Amino acid sequence: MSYKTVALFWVALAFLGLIDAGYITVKYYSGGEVSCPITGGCSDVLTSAYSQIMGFPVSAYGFIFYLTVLLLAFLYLDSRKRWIEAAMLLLGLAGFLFTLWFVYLQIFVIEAICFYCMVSALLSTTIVALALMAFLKTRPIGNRLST
Amino acid sequence: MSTHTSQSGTRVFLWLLGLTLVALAGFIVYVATRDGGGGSGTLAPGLKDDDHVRGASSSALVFVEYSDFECPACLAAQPALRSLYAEFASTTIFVYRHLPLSQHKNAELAALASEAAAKQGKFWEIHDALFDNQREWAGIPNDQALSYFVKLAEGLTLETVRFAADMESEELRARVKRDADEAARIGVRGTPTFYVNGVQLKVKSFDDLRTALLQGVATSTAP
Repeated sequence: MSYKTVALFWVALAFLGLIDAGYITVKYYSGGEVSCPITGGCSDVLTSAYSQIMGFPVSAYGFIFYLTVLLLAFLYLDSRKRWIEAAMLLLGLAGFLFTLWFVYLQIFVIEAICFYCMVSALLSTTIVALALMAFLKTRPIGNRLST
Repeated sequence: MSTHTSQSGTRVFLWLLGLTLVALAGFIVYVATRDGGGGSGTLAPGLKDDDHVRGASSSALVFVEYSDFECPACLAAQPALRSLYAEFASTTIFVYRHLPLSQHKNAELAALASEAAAKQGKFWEIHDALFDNQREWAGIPNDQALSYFVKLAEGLTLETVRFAADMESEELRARVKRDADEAARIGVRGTPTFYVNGVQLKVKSFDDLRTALLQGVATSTAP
């Protein structure tokens, strides 16, 4: 899979991610309650001590993450610069690390599952998986990074 | 790069598409979150005859709480609420209303237990006991929760046979449902949700509750 294909998929995934994270972020600031399909644990998760970092809701960071994913994808589609390929991989991995942490918190610490968080986990996992597929296909990246 | 300069039209299109996507995502979020609960957001300010109240016996200041005995956020609010019950005991009427959420499988049973205790005049006693022991009974099977509640009632020296029978009664089920239906009608979707004189409080921390009550006291005692 080429980075171009990955970027196209990223656009679609980031679009969904923006809606998902945007919804939770707006609900956080407007004080409204989220409707919670399937898993039913949203309010437990979203009001837990782990729902904010440095005063901002986790979903706001998620929103910025998806905005960055979208921006990188468009930058790549526009310019095809090599450094963006590396940036895509790093961004994907960073997002995935946070995803692992938050899924761990939901399952083992808060013991409640929030539907929107799991949607986001699925999206960010797909995002990193695609970037990895492109990376593995176009190795070695060492030469590319130095350009 | 140079190959793209001839395609500036395509590039403009590409970035316009990007902006459109962000705007579209924003619009979808706006539509999904507009009108927070789908209800009026205001609560009829009057008290009902069978409301569970504590604090002042008569006051212009009415604090209503929609709560669920099995909800962790409601448990987290307890220390703050209990200090408010004490601090504003002479100036505020505190009302507890039920909103047992469907994802908490013993919440309705707990609400029924509180109503059964209320029948014997011990609503607030079992209210405190239910929250204090929430971690023991939250999420356990319904039949075990039921016997747990009967044991709690016994600890509060309630008449347990009558308590267990009341918990089955259609009357109490309807009483709990009435609170929950009203919550749905006015757009309360989560717990805990607080109202002062019919106006929903948008609280970010429990300190905000105290601030709202202080303001309420100031305005209700103003000439």
